[in-house]
Amino acid sequence: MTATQTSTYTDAQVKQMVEDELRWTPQIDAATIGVSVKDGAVTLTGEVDSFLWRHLAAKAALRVRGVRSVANDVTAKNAFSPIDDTDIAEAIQHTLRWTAGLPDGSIDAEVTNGNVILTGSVAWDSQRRAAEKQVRQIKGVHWVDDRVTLAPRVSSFEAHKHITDALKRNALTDAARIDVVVDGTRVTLTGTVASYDEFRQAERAAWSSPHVTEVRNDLTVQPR
Amino acid sequence: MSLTVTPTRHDIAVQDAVGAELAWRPNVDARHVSVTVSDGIVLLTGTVSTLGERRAAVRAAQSVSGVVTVIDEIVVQPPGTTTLSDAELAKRVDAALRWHAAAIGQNIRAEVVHGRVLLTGMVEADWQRRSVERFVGSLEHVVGVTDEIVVTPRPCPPDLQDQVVSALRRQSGLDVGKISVNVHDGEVRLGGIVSTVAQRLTASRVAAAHPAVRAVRNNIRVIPDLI
Repeated sequence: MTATQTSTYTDAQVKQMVEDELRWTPQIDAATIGVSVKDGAVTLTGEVDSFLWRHLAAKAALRVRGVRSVANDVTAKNAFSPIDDTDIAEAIQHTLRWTAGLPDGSIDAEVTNGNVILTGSVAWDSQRRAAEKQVRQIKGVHWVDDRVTLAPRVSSFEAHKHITDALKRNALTDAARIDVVVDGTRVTLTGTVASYDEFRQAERAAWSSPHVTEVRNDLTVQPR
Repeated sequence: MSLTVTPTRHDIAVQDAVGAELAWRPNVDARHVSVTVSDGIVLLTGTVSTLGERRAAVRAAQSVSGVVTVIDEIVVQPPGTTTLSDAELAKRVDAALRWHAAAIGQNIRAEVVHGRVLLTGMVEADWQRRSVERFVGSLEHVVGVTDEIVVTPRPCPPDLQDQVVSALRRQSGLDVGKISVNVHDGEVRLGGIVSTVAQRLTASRVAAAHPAVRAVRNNIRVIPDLI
């Protein structure tokens, strides 16, 4: 049994598909999440048990065909018996210290009522994201505010070529439709991509440059 | 005796691109990783220091245009300067599982032998098993993870095949035009063709999401769009 695809979707169709995808995402209780769609822009509302489920709900919506963007207005209530902030902070500290690829002491966490503020400095954006991902998975974490900065870098005239080469190598990114502008250590991406996956791959390619401290991703997802 | 096959120009191009991608990605030190390519099949050998880097190397290779599949024979060799006893590592894994969101209320045990973590026990849903396995694999000093966690079986709805097909159809970036789906007794068999490794992996992930699916047999072939 094979499937066929259509190229454009009505907002009603997109809403149905997002709701179906939320139900198909095993970690979350889709019944607690509301979906509204306007011209392919999705807004999620409602209340879920934790910051992690809220994050996963947005990820689910972004996977859906026809979705241009997702505004995540879902709130996270702390469903677990209030876990002591000290316990959460200790769990975060141990986890970050024991995680491979994160230099000891590079990231600090401040916890108040389960709300976590991450500070400190790392060499790469991938490390920053990895740390945030580890923290999201800890019991009792109600919110994560990631304020980790990247260590300063020097700009390079080669950055543009290296980033566009990376986009050309990547099976997902259509380098011809992505415009890369490098201004010092800041990269701005404009143009169109076919999916959120491509949107993210393009951004990661830019962050992988050793001469970049900021990436502005202005790519538009143009559903096919 | 060795059989040498002259690599095609395309294989050389893919080999260069995979090498470049491995050098590009900051989350893997690929200085001791070797890349060979034959008919788009990438073989990775050599060593890295952590399991995280090994996984990152595989993902990097999989992302490259023209790659059909990646065979991973990388060996994780932690640097001799930092060692942790199996007992200490086991204590860390146990502690980390106590505060991990996916492990709440589940019955998971970890044993460590020479840096390899064996996970056993039972969970209610497959996502918990995968989440825990990934998390344990992200820890320093873990050389490998063997996942023998069992997932509670669930009854199959009669329209499970239709549900899987609908789920595949709504994935952005997945070209389902040449994918076939057959569901029998909780096992999903995927066949057909896609143009990238990413789509092949997405199809597996999507099919596996329903709690009644106990296994996914992915026979989808990757035939890259060659320009």
